[in-house]
Amino acid sequence: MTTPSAGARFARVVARVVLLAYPASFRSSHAAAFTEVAEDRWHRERASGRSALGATIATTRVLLADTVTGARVARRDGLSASADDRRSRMIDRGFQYFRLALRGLVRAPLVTLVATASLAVGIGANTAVYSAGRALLFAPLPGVADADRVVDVCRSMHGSGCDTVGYQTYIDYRDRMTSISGVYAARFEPTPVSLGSDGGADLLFAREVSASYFRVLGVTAAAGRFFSSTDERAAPPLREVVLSHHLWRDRFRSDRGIVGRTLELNGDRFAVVGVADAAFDDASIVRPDMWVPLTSGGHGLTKRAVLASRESLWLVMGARLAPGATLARVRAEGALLMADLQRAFPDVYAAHGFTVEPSRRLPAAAAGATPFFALLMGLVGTVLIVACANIAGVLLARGSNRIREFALRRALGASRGSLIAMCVVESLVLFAPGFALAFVVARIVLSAVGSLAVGLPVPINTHVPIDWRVVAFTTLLGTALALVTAILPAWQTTSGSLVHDLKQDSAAPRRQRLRRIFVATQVAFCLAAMAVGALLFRAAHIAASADPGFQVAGVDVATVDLSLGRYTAEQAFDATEQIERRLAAIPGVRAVAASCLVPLEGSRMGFGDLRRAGTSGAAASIDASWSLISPEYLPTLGIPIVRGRNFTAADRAPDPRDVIVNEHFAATIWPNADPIGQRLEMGDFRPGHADTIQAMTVVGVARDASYRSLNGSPTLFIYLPLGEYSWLKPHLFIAKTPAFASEAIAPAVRQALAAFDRSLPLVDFVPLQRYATLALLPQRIAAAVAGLLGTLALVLAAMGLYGLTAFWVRSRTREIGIRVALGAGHGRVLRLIVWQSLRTAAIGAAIGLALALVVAELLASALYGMAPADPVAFGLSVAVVIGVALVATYLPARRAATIDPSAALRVE
Amino acid sequence: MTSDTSALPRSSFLILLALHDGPCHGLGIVSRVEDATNGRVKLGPGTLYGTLQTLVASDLIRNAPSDRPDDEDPRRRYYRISPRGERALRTEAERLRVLVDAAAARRVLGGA
Repeated sequence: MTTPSAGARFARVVARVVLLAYPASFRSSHAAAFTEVAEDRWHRERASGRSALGATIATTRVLLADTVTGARVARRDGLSASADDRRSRMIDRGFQYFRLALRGLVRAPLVTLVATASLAVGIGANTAVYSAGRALLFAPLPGVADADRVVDVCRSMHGSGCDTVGYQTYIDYRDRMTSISGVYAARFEPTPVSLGSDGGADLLFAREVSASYFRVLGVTAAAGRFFSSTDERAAPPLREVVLSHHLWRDRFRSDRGIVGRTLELNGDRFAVVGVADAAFDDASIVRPDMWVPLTSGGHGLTKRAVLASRESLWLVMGARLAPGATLARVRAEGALLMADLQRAFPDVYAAHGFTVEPSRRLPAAAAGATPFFALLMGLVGTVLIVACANIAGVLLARGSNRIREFALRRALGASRGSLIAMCVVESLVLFAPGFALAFVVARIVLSAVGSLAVGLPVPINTHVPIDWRVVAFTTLLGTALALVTAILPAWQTTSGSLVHDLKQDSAAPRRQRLRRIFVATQVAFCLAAMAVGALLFRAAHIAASADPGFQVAGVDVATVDLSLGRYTAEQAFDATEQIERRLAAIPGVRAVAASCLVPLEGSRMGFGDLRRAGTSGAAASIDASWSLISPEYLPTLGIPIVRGRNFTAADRAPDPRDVIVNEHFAATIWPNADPIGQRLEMGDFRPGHADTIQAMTVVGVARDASYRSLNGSPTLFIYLPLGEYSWLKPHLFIAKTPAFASEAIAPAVRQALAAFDRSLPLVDFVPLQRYATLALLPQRIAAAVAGLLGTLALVLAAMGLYGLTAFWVRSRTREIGIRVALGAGHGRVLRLIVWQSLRTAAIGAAIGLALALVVAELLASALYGMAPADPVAFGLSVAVVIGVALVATYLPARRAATIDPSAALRVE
Repeated sequence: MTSDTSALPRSSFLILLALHDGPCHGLGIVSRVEDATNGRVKLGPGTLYGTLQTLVASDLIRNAPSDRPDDEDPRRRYYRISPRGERALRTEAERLRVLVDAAAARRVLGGA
């Protein structure tokens, strides 16, 4: 032979594997020659002009095909039984079952398809969702030392929630708590910064953290060290930066020499002190490129002045428990400290409370995510139930059809054990491709969810590893299902009377009743899953297409920070107006407006105190949100004035102050009066502060829109003219004509700004659509996942239902033959069979409908603005289920009714 | 096995045909079969040794001592056709000829 190549060696390996399918006696006398012939086959294929790979494939194909015939030929003379010992006989029998099962897979493609698809989707979707849920909500932070001792510290409002705190509050906790060994504070969302480089500036994201951040979390440095000071309030601002591992790896090629160099962030110089460990990349749902101290005071970063405030609540806080301290002790100590603060600053802390929660990748502050995940988990759980119901239904139906086969095998000498063993091997073989495919499905689902996060204004960390505990659990569940569905029919026959089973045909009344129960159960599960899927899909779709109440498309938001250009409060509005005029001159720009807030961004501004003129007392206070806007704002965003007038350029004088309220405000505060001309007062109403009170007159009413976030609940909202207040960080809304893209206009915006003032950087330039996208993220994910899972549940359910019903009708072929032979007309038999099946399906559908209604009630809170008993979703599901049942009954019944009665009688 | 009267499996027939030319080992049989059928029949090892085992058991072929022990692998087992095998081969060939003739008479084989 020629020198053994990889292909020839592979042929030998395949030969050794397929040899296992042969009797031991055959193996002991022919193994060597067998592999030699297999290898020779490869050389022959190669010699006939095939490539090495082609020859390998051809050889493998020949060897596999050969095994089916060869193994049968090899045992034809019965040599194996006489020569082999017991053990090898058992192994032989195992392989015999294995081949039998393989043949069964091919022979019953519908069963194989239902089982494979059901398992792949059921296990795959569950693996993905539970892996993500565990990683984000339950698993301790990766890359953090003793992560189970790290907690989120937060502010509760009126006893609930977990929210941000002010910097001074953080300092109090840090300095006065003894039950924790360290506290850190951080801005949750990373701030966009421009990194100066030779080829221009790059947009990166820096997370502002306290100097204690890495020490408290116990992060390992991949290079260098962490911040040099433990107190970020040091006199010269701490201008240091810690790089994330992914930035270091991707941008600096893991160069250790980067430590000690300086980077230019927004034009300020920061010294690189170190690189965080790779595992820490996944420690948070946000994925910053770097960390800088809270107090760096760099351009575009937090102003040091904010640090003095107790009122501005912008920091998430975390702590490490002191050795021996428990959560309960920390909570008790924190509550005492909060009581102290409430005595010292009653205005600030009146409604505040103190809570701690174990730290998770998704912070406790993002409490909205928990019901969302609960919903997802419920949804995939339903898919798994449908998958199991499909498989169990189809296999049990097949099993009950094989009772005679099993009885026959037993009559011919097969033991109960061997029958059960055969069934177990069969089920495992049937399930194996589904298990394998489940991983593919899990990866697809995870990456599909991850891809939804692309295009958000902040980098989101969607990397979720597949959790092996979840895999183990779902696999165990699937295997248990395989065993139960395999053993049950075999057990059933072996426990009964053989003669009885042999004589009994599958049309016996007891068996018919059993099968009808299967069909009804299957229909119930299918309908419930399908209805819930359709419901969620519709709800998510309605939410995702919800009208925010203003124009989102074609509007870009440019943000400037006038304080960076050293403008004073008095100059702010003039500067804003001049920038507006320059931006409006850019070709393709239709209109420009300014405001202090971006709607849907999530921030909200509160007033000092607001009340109707002439009212007093705590009950008179109006809890409204507000925004400062230029006169162009409402027309630019397409928010109509429904009564009165818009602001004008004249709205600059401090007295009288004009305001515009939204419809909800007008209807709530003046339900029976014309809101135009009504007066409001704003300011500090405590005695001695009369000079802070300002009178305001309502001049217009604007249509309601979404403000802080997209939701159905109306908000009391009030617009004030930007010109009457000093606002140093305006957002400029640039509405374009449809032909212009955001990217096309961005350079012109930068130029216009530079032409106005070279020292003024563009802090941010983002399409308004992005904010809307971010606001809709939960709904988008829910829509995508519910749509995907709902469709899968529907397909699975339809397949399972078809398989089972078709099976049921086919098993009645003999009965149909008898009926026809006795003179029943074809049409009459057909009607009878279809009618009986439909009656069974209808009973199942009724149960399923009730089940779905219960689930829908539980999901009511997730059904944005929809009635749980949505007639469209439920009607559609019932129609589909009954339709599938009808087709699955009619086709086989028609075939059975039209064949020759004598042939029908011989069936089985 | 009543091989004299019933049809032989195709692989048995081809192996008997190959051994009709003289004693041979398994690998050689594969080669001879492939030559005889213009490469249309590729005997896999399972079919080959399974059939050889069956043919030995029904005494259509016998194990043969190697006639050239010097240049061949001593592990190789040689087979030769038995008189009973020769008869079975002829019977089968005649049976096939009847079938082929019947087809030819009806011009199934085209220009042949």
